[in-house]
Amino acid sequence: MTDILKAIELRKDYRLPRGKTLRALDNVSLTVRSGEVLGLVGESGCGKSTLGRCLLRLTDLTSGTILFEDQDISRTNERALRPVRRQMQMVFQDSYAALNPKRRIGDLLAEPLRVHPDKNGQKRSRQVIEARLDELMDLVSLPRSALARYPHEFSGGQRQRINIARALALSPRLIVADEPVSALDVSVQAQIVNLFTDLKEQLGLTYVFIAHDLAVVRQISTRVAVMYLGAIVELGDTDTVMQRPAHPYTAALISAVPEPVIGASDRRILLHGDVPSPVSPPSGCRFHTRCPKAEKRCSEEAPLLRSIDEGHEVSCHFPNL
Amino acid sequence: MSGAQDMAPPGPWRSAFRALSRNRAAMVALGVLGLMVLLSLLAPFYAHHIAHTDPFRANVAGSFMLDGKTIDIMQPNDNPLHLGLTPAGPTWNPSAYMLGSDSQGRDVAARLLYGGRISLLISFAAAALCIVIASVVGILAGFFGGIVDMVLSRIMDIMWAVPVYLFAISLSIVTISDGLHIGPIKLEADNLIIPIAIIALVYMPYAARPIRGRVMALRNADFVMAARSLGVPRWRILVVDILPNVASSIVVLTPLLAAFALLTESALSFLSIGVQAPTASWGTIIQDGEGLIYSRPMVAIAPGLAIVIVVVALNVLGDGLRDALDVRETSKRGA
Repeated sequence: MTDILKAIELRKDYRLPRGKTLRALDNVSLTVRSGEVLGLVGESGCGKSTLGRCLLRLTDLTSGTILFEDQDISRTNERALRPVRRQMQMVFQDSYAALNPKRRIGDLLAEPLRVHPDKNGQKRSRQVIEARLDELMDLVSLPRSALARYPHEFSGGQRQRINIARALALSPRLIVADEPVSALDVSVQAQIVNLFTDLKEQLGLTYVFIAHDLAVVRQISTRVAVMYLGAIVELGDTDTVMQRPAHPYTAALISAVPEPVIGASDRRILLHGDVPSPVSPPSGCRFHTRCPKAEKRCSEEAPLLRSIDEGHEVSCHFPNL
Repeated sequence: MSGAQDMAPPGPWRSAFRALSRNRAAMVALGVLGLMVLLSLLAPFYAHHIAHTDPFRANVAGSFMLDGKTIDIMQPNDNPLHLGLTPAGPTWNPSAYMLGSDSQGRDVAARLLYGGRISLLISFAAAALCIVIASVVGILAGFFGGIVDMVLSRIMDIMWAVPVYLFAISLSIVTISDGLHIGPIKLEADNLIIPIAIIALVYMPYAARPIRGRVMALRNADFVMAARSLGVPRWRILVVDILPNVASSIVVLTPLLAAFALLTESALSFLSIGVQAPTASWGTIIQDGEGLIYSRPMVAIAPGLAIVIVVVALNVLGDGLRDALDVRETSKRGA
């Protein structure tokens, strides 16, 4: 399996008033392999959306390197980035906010096709664009009549299909989906997750799938990265991470997933306190303030992400093995 | 596909237009405004063919015919000493001094219509100029942010620090003595462009600030982020994604600006630093009526009433536009 996207020591600081800085991403390194679905999980505010946006260069990095198919895109300007943008697309959480309310669906979906030239460097003709729009509607199972309508006329699930169709317009290789189903009804969630799975099979896509719902991530992803306070704490195959979580935080997250089993709640690991502020993160291991296994060393020395098994990495001094 | 075309829903502008045309208050306001404009345009016709008078020529010694009787325009004062002269009062007859005469023997009704031309012209032109400048400033500041926003916002802050009327009066006094001469631009003191430009300028920050805020909110909207991730160039995002969404804010602001412009124009003209004689505007007519306020109040009341009617109509129309375009709804959902 080749690597489609490689992130090396990404750091993103936001400057706050009175000289403070918020470190949203702290030395995040990550590899996305071609054809996989990498799930990115963590509580809200842990930096998973920021990471998603940085990977697509929608937010500028403070430092670090991003390689897309071995091409360094971390400092490229917007104009030079344009051909790369065709290859990587984003699907947003809020399906309504992601569609310009003043434009018809057909117009919205045609936008990328008008802006980018085709394979031969030619401008696409209207007939070519219209044919492609019909194809896209078929791909996401929406009627072609939807092209003449406005975003507000659709339900959340339908709008998310439209967003997916737009992301697919230029036949990208990588899609970063930022909590694409968390704003939807549970029944609709399943349909959209299935749509993502089908499209991946059909078009050979690679996903970075951001979510806070572990059930969704377990269903769709092949690998999982768990984030806490701007850093990756555990990374590995979905089955391994879900069944044998090595990091106490991952273990706590997994135990919080409701299970339809009597007595399951007895095994829940309760974390105390709130997530510390990323403006002044704790010393040493960032999780030590809430960790049930924390010892003296944890507050002094920050653990590094290290491999504990084939393709299973964790940043903890005392991982569950 | 033709079936789908027939079923195509109306665009946002078309549905806003429909909503506006169903709003009775806004339609009445629009009708009133149209009537005022029409009456003003008919001023020469009224003066020459109905009232048979020249509203710009003093006529202190003249007289007019009413019901077969000849009436002097200037009549002896009815105070106990019969000192001085009082102009003729309203006859309520359109053919002769319907609203009476001013202190120079001119027909107030005819002057009111001529004044309407100038007042409405200045207020509409100033509102149009103001909204154009404010849109450019607000969109540039909001979209580009950073240093562009810094410079433009500080300039607006400085303008804001000066009270609107004080600012307008100061500028008017400077330009009233010998007009405006900047490089190749030479405007005489009685040129209408001067009050138009002054009014447009002093209200610019009031319109530019909300436009800037709207653009800044839109710049961070998900659909703009989506456009960037699709590789849409920046200028195209501005034109196709941002402009259509601020356009409604701009449309809503315009009638309100026209109302403010009308009030300011009248105030400046009342103070003799707006429209210059012999040109009449509603403000100058009120000033003509100031000295006659006890004996012939109609001279001041008529233009005052005209101003009130137009300002109220503009505000009602503005409210109707805001409801029809649903400006708040999009900003709420965009958050």
